[in-house]
Amino acid sequence: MMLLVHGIPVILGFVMSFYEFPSLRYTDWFRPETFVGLDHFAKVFQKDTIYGAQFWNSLKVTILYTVGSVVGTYVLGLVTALTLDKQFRGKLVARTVILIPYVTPVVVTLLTWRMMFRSDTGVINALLRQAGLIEGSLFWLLGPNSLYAIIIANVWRNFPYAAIMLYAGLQSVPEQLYEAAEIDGAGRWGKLRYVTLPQLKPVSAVILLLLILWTFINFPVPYILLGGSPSESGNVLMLLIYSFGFKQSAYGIGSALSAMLFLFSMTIAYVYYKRVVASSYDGGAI
Amino acid sequence: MLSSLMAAVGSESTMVPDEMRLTADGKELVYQLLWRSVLILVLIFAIFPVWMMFTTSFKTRDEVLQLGLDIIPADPYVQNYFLMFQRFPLVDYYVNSLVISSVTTVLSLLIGGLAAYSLSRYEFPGKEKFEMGALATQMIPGVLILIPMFLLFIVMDQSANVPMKDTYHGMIFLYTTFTVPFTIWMLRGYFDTIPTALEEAARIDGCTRTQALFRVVMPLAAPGLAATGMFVFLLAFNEVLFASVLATDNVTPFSIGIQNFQQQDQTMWGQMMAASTLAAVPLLAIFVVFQRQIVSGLTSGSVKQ
Repeated sequence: MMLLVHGIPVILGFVMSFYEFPSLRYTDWFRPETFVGLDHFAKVFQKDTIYGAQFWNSLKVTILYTVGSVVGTYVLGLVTALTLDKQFRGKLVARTVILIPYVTPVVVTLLTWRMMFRSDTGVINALLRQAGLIEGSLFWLLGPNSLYAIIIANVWRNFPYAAIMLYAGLQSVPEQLYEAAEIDGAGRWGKLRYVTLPQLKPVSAVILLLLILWTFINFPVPYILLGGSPSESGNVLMLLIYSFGFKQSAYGIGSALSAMLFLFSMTIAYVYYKRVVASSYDGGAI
Repeated sequence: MLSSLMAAVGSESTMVPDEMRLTADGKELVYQLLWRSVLILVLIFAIFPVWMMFTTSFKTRDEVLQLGLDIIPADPYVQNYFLMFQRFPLVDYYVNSLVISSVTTVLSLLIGGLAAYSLSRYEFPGKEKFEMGALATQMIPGVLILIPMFLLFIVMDQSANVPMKDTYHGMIFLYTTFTVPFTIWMLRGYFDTIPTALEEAARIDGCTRTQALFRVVMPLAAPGLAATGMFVFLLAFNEVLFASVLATDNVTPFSIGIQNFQQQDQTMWGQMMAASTLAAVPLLAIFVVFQRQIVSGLTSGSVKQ
């Protein structure tokens, strides 16, 4: 049932990518004369067509967005997890506060980010001015900075997840390893470098895999921050497909792009399954 | 604090006389200060936008446009909380969201819970494929099936005469198909942790299989059900992509409706943030209550965004 509900649209999506869609009336669909074969795919990959140019730009933006977000999320998550791992009063409160970005409804927090990123009266520019880092105002949601804006908002949203997962991973590191390292003369840095980080490897692999996928196919962050037709530097693939489908009425092209994304995400799902579920791996996720 | 830190770090250099060098205790102090300040910075980063949302909801239009970093609004402007209802049918948006999200939550806990239970307890052919399929559907990018879904909804309207677009049942149906696989993944882990011996004992005492499930297993899994339910509710409540295409007139959910506050010419930030605060507070309250379960849910299952 579940497979059916998802299967039909997925298959339909693939089939659509081979057809031209003249209109939204369903009697117009899938007529033999509208069959264009692999044309859409070819168009997408040719840099000199209007679709191709947009695709290559979006691909570049999406990769930058993904790398920036995943690295930022992971590093901030790791730092947070390491500080949470200490003994201190108010730890439960700190943990609760850290998870707030993750459980507050995305839409409202993203709208708040949108407000904070305003160029004239936004609080981010105000803080930067106060700190003497900039003069005047930066445009965050237009032009080249829009990439940074979506990365920052995405890191904010996801780092609690990385932090909690890594924190759980830290709990499972055997105490003896630290004792052994201490006997070998390892200082704080040595313990982190030779005990903690290697022990976190399996859970890190899982987190990174999921973060890559989640960022790559993330829709709300760019859509709410930048809107449906963002400037070039923020036009990630998700927004491009959306715009092909619902603004430029290029359903076929949109479907061709989606089909490629589908193969990408299924590869990640497969790796995830093999690595985490099917193996007897038992730390962190699953 | 920063300058004293710098001084402490600087004193490690060889230029200072021996007696002023940091002792082991001093180093420990620096280290303590360092990680505590990092933690405080992280906490500020985590809470800051939510705080901005809250304070802005008490600001007038003019105050929003001024650069205001006031931690606590000096003269709270409560009018936002009343005015926002006049501008847009916020109550309708909220009710739409509540209906769609709650029914989706109940349905997916019911369907997903039973499926997760059978996955956890029984062996059957194709089990691994089923699991893989559930995982795969959880990872399909929404945009991929958005266009076909849109067209399918149109077909249902035009030829089968079953309106799906812009209806409660259409949206609930759509969301349930996403949340069921997710529920299965979350709950399976919980069921695995409940010993089968308890059910066997119940059956020896004369319970049927179904009775054992509902009287013994389900109560034990209640925390897991609650946490999963909250995630499902959040998923449905937060959904923007499908809603922005398929539910824009009759059943506009909150996640779409609230964006109406930003217009071409002006955005009513104060009112929008008031609406946001109202939407966030109940969910944050639930989170605080169930936070233990939610943390264990995060770490033991594969949790979708």
